[in-house]
Amino acid sequence: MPNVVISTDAITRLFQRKTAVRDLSLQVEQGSIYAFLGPNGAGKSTTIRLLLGLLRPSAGNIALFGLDLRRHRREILARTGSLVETPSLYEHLSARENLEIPRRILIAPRSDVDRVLGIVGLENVGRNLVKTFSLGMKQRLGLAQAMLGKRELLILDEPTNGLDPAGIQEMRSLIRRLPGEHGVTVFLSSHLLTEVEQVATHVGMLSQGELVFQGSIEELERLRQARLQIRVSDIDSALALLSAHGWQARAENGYVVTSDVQAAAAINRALIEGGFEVDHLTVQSISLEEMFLKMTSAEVN
Amino acid sequence: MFFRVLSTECLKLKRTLALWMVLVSPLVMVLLQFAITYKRAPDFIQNAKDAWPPMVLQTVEVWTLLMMPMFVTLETSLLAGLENTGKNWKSLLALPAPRWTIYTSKLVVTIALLWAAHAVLIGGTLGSGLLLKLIHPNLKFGSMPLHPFVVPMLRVSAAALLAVTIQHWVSLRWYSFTVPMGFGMCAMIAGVFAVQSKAIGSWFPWSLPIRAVLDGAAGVDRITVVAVVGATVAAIIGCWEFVRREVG
Repeated sequence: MPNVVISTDAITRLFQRKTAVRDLSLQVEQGSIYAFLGPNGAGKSTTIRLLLGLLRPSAGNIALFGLDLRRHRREILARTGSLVETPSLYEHLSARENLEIPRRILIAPRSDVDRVLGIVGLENVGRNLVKTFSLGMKQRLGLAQAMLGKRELLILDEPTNGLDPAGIQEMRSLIRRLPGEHGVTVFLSSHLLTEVEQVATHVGMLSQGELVFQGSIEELERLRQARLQIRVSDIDSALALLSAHGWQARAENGYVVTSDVQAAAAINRALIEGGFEVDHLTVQSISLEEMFLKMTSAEVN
Repeated sequence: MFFRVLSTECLKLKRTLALWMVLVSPLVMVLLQFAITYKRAPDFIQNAKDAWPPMVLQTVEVWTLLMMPMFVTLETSLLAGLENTGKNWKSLLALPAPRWTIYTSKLVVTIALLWAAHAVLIGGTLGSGLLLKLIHPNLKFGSMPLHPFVVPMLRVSAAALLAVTIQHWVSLRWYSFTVPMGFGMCAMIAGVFAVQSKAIGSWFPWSLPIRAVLDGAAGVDRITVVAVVGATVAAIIGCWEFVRREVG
């Protein structure tokens, strides 16, 4: 069983009367890129602040690397880098000086500054003042800060926010490389579905402070394969045949439709062996966007 | 860890207005005093008066009553602004440093900057006296007033600690630049009024420094004790609040 890096046990966070996060139980495996997906105001940033100890949960427990966050805060934060919303930088200092601040606190070797500047591709502008940097460069410097020292987990809150398309691509390719090349587990929040499809290995979907889906990208993919659409010569006889085999199907717009997607090959074989002409058989997927809206609206309702 | 955090706070001062203020604020005072003494030089020469005592006394009084409270207000606001403007608290507090080290190292830096400004004020005033001596050879300057200058300034440095500690907490508590500025200015004005009453002035944090000058005690007196003990208590309470604070 893979090691679990982040484990929350039914955490709830209240802000006066409003519940920002309710009974949230996250499980993030080591080496994964876990996309924490949700619309604006779903509770993503609150969750990230809870994971970093910036907010305290009203109920429930948080464990990172198997350690209780309340009791082992410093040890956990030494192994956890973060980039919360916009990068927190001192604009009057150079990129190197901005890295020097966390480096000293993390007691990391001086060479680490060069290492992380190299990873984010800012090695040639290390001595430039941050106020001369574009937003994309600042975001990359923020990521470099988060990677200083012996970080095993990166928590990134909307890391591509405010970036231009080229910056978004650069950031995503950087994130994709992190687990393989640097042995880092990534937990990133996003409201961009394309981001999830392109970088994540695991997904958690949040709606109104509650987790409505959690699993691997493959599990999500299976859920998205919503139905099988078949065109045959005689719809009524085909439906009878499928029913005799125990598959539930219906007629819809001149097609036989079933939600038994996993049995696509078996259904095809049964129809052909039953003497039907099958000239069309497709697995129809719903888009991630449709699925997300379906899940979150179901939750709302 | 405290000294590591303190070193990062010193690094953050690089190229900041807060650092320049340590030179600029006392030197403005020195320049002003130089101009006043230069203008009054014929009087001093005519009456054969030693120019040091009025120079030193005016410098200490004006600095302590007006310039220093403004300096403290501006410095604490600028230092807090380093974190507030970039919304840096969330990343700073997500680093594996005990929060008390962050709060206290920022306070230590503020106090160090104030004391450095006092050193510049003493050095600048004495230097400007020597310059006046060169410009006006007939102007009488007695022996260099190291003791009458340094002792009151040491008392002021200690008596200012309570106001500095409170202003430090206010600057870190409210992220807006205007709240600590407004608070500091109001406190300074209140201090000007409070100093006129010995009973109130000996307790009110912003009038303690000038009372320390006016009372003229040579060593550690009640004002120093009130300021140092008060500052310690205020620092502990402020630190406790900061450690428990949530960053939303």
